[in-house]
Amino acid sequence: MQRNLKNSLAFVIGAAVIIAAWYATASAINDELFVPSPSEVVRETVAILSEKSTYKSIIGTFWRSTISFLISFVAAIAFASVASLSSYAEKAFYPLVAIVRVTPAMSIIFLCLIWLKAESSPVAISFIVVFPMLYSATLNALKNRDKKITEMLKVFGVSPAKRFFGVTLPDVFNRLFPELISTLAFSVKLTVSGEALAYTKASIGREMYRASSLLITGRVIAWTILAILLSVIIELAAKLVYNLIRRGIRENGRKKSV
Amino acid sequence: MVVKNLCKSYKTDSGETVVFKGFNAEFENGKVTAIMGASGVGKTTLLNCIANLTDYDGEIDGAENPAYVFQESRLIHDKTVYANVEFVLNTKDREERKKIVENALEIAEISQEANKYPDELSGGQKKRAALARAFASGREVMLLDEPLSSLDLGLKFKLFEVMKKLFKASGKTVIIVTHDVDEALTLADEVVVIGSYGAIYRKKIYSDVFEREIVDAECNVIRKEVISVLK
Repeated sequence: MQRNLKNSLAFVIGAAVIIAAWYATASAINDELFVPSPSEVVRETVAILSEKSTYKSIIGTFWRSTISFLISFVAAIAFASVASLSSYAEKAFYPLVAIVRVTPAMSIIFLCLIWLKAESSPVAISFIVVFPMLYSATLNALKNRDKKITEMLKVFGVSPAKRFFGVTLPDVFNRLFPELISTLAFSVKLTVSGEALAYTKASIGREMYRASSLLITGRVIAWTILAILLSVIIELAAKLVYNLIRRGIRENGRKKSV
Repeated sequence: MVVKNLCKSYKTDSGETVVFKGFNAEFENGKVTAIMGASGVGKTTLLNCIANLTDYDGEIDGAENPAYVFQESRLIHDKTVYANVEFVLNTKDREERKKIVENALEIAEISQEANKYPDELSGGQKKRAALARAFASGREVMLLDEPLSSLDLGLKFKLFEVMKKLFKASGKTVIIVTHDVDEALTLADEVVVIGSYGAIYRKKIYSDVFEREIVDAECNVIRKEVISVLK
């Protein structure tokens, strides 16, 4: 209990220091266009939240970043599963994965803007950048799975399909979960960047771009805060759902064993 | 079960290590055989060859798809004890699976822990769960690789009784690898000491496992002989 209190206090002190530094910088510069004060940003945030279109934009960004993440995840599981079973497949996938991994995100963004429509660019951008990350993490998790358990199951004649779906996949997913959460947050960031450059309708990115082109710095920061909050909420919701599902599966396992 | 002309070697950095070179052995069906030998002689390798976990040259007859109790319990961590035992069964009939699992858990004296997960079990309980799984699988041959190695003496004695019950109930061919001659004398119908080419010592124990005292005359003779062979 005391440790939690200390941790919360440390967090509050850290946040307070940032806000105090922000106030001090804004007062020293005294130019709302360059460094808006925290109170100006709060005013802009309240104004944004009172507009109906804000929620459409938030939902739009949420939808695009989640879809691109899910597509990346399913593709990563499929490709990594094949690569874990065949070293030839792994070598064949390597050049593409390596090239995409080292290519600057901005290059990918600009190419997608040239090749794709405004609506689909942010999804494609996020997929192209996130997929290699998830693929590598999944392949690593598959390669490092407990070989002793696999050996035991082979001896007992458990079929490969039953081994994969009954043991390997749940085990890999559990070990991959922290990586999935951080990649999900990254997906939101990439989606917003893509939306800003593609000027996608009903998106946080577009609103951010509009605010910056009108030189309303306070509004840019306000939208940034909303993007951060969206990321945090998605992350917390994913963790909550995961923990509930794990607890549910564990309790269900107990009930079936009585 | 017969092992004929088994040859097995491993490639190492310094060349090749030969484990078996024309190894021959017979294991009586329905009996418990304890295999002993010097460290590195290939006791675990022999079990792995029988279980087809490693390549080898030669023939092994009468040991298709054995059940295996490894040194570590190798329980699946996100399944309960019940689910761990059930997972290896091939029977599709739900009622029959339930009967097999419950019977195995009862014989292994782990029924009370059926709905627990491996992280909630003690070392001894994990071993019993692994034994229940091997028993439930219904295989003709059961292999055990130093199943009691990491347990204290008190726990070992408790598990001896469970294992004797289990082996008697299964009536299967059981091969236990052990370093402990008293463990061999407690559980086995025959003690075999192996070398690279086959058994270098072999002795049947005629007294019944449930009535045997490991300090009686027959066991004392075998103990002395095994120690002298191992020296």
